[in-house]
Amino acid sequence: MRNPHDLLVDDEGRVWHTGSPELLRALHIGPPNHDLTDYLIRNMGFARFRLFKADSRITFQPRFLNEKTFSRLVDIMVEHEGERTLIETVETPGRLEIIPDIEDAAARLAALASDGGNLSRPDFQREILSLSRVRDQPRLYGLRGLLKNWKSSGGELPSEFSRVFDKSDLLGRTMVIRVAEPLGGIVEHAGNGFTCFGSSWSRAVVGNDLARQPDPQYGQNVAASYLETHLTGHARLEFVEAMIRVPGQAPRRSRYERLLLPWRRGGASFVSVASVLRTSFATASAT
Amino acid sequence: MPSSTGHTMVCDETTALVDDKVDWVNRHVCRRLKSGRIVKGLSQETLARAMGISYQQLQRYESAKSRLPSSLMYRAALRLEVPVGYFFDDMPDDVVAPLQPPAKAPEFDKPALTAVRNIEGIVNPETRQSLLRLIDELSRPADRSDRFG
Repeated sequence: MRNPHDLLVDDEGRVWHTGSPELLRALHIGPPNHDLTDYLIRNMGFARFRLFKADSRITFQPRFLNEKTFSRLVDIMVEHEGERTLIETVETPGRLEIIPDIEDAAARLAALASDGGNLSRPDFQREILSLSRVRDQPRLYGLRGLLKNWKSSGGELPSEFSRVFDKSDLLGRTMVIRVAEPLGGIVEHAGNGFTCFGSSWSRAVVGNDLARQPDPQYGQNVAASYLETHLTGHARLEFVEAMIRVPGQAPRRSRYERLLLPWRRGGASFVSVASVLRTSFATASAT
Repeated sequence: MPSSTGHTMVCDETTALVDDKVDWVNRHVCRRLKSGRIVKGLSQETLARAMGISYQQLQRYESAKSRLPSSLMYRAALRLEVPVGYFFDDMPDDVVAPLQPPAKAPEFDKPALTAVRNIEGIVNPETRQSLLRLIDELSRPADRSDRFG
């Protein structure tokens, strides 16, 4: 019996049941004696969507994914939103990327297709999110303690950073920057959860200028928010999607939320950053 | 003919899906709102700001828990850079059909249906075949009769 949720999306965004007689007729072929579906995905820009209980599985050829197919895939993903999406490319059959959130899954499809393909995706984007997400969204619950601490202390930074920033629910993904006039910052603390820069980075970066990151462009992009947080004096939750290029490593595209808080102590100003990683994947092309 | 699986338009076979308790049109519109936002890579906050609502309200629309008013649909279309019709595109047949005036059911000739039933009831195959030939002969138009005659 045919699985009603085994679908193919063609390069015009039309949806077909995999292997259906209608598809064969449209292709002007008889019953195939080879793996037609694999052929269509590999050579004709089709993408396959399958639903298994709570999982959606998408198989596609990134180079051929175009806007119409991508839009239709997102329609189907929204319609059949499950617990997670499994993404597989024809170059690496059987190797699945498992992504819980459909927005992250769609972003991953687009990112794969932007690497030598038909879709474009900016190297850096950030958006300000509502602070109430820290309260409402389970993924961000780890930030609640830090936000509460900031509020209750009135933004007065304790002398022992570890008391605030080495809490286990923050997973070591915290930084504290001392604001240096006019527009710079010195790293005062870096947790050990930033794995994309290498294991020794968190120790080496302390005491350095914020702008001196392994990827200077990325460092410059993210630093703008620190300054804005310092100038406004308000807590801020941001979403960031960034391509991070560390010399000697494959570039990574990471998506994360981060909580920025302005602090002060003894006449100096600080900004802390705590981030919650959504996804991080190495791109196909290494530098 | 396009049809649906769940509510995805599929270019083959028809699946009836009618549930009076669900407003399928609103559900379709709300799904299009969500997928349009995701395709554009926008956060809920960004689209909600453009629509003049909170992101929590947008979440309610995206999950079809609330009906999306036309004014908000218009603002969303502007931000997503799509025509308002985008939200109604690819509406499955089984959603659209109930909104159309019901098509008049084809009418069959009752005596003819009775005759068919009776012919099927004739047990002797030779008798049945003879009768069918007779009917065929009698129903043949004059010109056809001439041609095969």
